[in-house]
Amino acid sequence: MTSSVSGIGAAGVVYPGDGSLPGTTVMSPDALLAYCQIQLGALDDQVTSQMNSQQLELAQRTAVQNVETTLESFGDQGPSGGDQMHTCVAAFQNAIGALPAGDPVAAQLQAQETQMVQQYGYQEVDTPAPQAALVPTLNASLHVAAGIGTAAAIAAQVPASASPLPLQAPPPAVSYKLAHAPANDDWKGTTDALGNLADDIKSNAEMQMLTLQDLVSQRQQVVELATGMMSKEDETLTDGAKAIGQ
Amino acid sequence: MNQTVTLADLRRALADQDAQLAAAFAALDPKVPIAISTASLQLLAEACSGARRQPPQGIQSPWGTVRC
Repeated sequence: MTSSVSGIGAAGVVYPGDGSLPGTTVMSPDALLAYCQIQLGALDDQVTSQMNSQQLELAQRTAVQNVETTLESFGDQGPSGGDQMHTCVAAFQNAIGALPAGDPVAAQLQAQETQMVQQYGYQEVDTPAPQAALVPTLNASLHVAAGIGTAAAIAAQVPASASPLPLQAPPPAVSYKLAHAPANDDWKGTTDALGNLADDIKSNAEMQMLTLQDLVSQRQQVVELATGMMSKEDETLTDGAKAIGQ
Repeated sequence: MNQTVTLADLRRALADQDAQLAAAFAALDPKVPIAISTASLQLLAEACSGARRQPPQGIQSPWGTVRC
């Protein structure tokens, strides 16, 4: 019996009217190509999705490991002062910034950073520059001086110079405070939490890599099936054509 | 000895598969219809749909399910 196969348009399938070659479908090479592409499409979508996941997990692992490396650079005791803790906080923020918005690992890093900041009483304190207090007085003096200059210019009948731009206060100095430096095994707990996060990502990535390998292997079987049946049926047709010609 | 398979290895494998498929099609005469075993076509469809039916992978981790 000759039958059609789902997934391909009827226009691409040729049904022999004489009922020859039972159990076969006669189709043009283009139709067969379209059929294979449709069937492989779903498989390819899954492969692409898994590959994207692998790329994301690689980025997640890199981000977490960068934070881990920074934190471990302060040894078992951890940061001893605000400046050192600031380095750790900056490492968290860089890692979070390197991941896509809404990423679950970024959220976990954010939670760990918040916990670290609270646990050790880390604070960023803005200290105004000493010169900042003088700026309003200086600006007022400049305004007065500019007025005198304009009056003098009018009296001398020369163009007045433009008013000077007001002075800007220098930015405040930021200092970093650490209320409770890590003690005992506190810091080990902080770094272990990051290590666990990295391990979870790694094991998840390994499982997904196995799934990806299975998909690629499955695709290989499909491709071999497709190429195999093409070459075999091609020979059959060639033999049939020879037989007809005799 | 187990060798680590990388994404680059898998990309190469996929490219090889595509080349294999393209070569097989290139060997066919586009004007000559070919007879394909219906069972083979169904097998091919099932091999692909089997992959479609696989449940999504993902493990529970402390921060939730990591999508795959």
